[in-house]
Amino acid sequence: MHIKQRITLWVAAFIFAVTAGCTSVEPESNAPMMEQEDAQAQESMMPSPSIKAKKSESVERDSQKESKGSDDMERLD
Amino acid sequence: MPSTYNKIHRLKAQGWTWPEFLAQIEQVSVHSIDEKTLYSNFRLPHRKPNKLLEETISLLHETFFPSPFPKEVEGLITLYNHLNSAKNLRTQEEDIELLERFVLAEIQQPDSKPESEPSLRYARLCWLAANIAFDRIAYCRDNGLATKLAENQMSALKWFQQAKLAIEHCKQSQGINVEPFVIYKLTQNKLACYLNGLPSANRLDNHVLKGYIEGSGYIAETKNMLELEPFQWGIARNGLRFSSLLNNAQDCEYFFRALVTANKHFLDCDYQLPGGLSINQSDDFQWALTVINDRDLINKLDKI
Repeated sequence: MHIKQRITLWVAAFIFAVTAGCTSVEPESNAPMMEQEDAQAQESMMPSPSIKAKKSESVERDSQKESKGSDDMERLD
Repeated sequence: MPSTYNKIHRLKAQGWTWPEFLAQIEQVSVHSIDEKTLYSNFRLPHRKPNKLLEETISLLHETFFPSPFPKEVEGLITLYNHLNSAKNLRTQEEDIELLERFVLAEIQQPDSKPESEPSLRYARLCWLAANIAFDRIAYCRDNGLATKLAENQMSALKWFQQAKLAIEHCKQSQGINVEPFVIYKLTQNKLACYLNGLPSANRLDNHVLKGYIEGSGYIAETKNMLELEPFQWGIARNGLRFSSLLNNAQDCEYFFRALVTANKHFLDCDYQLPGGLSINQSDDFQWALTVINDRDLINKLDKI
């Protein structure tokens, strides 16, 4: 392959990469969007507070079921 | 502290009609409570009262059934209960130890000693020292801390007993009126020290526990309490539990009837209160359940 052809291929690949990158970003978007996306992705992996609460309740209920029979007496004041 | 459910029942048992009850509430609180809320908290043991109702009923209960103990020690017990139930408090155990050190020092003051002149202040401080040790029992049991478990069990038993002796002394020598329920609470707490120290699997055939129940007069005292306050479902439930552990069919029937008299919801053996186990779920009641089924008690009591 000639040097000229190689350079042409490199330039074509570069232009393709830049074009592909620009089309996936909204015109009004700016750099922090990547951070926003990351944050959103992280949030979507974390349960929302209400789900967290429900989950901990269900864990509590499960642990109660597990401790079936461990029925302690409360002290009276 | 008795639950709001028990307080409403105790107040109502004075013979008030609902309008009279609401009028009494208006005397102690600037906020009014609607009859529907009051009545549903009267009917349903599992109902969690809202903050306003809880505070108002406590105020009214304190007016008609004042605690015989000095207010400053009652405050200390409230403080400890808040500390003990606090979540995510990093210094919780250290804070409890600091409070315990203070309480034990107060109890051991020369003028607090029972041989000088036991007071209700001394009795309540002993009660608090017992509570602190008692609350460590389940943790020690679940984490295999046998030595600590024995120490805390002994300590709780010792201070509950000391509180009981001091109260009885005050009643006899100073003529102070203390409700029978106050003494009963200490009997039950002592029994709870034995029960909670055992994992559930070891409760069914435990000779020490059975020996203590039989020797303590607990069953007879529990029956007397239920005569005075038949709405106390917690007392009836514990009576049923220990009758079950003692394999006493007659007492099982007696306490199941008492439980249903306290509240009809307990006809359903799956009935569960928040944070507690139903009778069906708890190993302690397995023997009683055979009696309930064999004697067809659910059907019989449902028709009454």
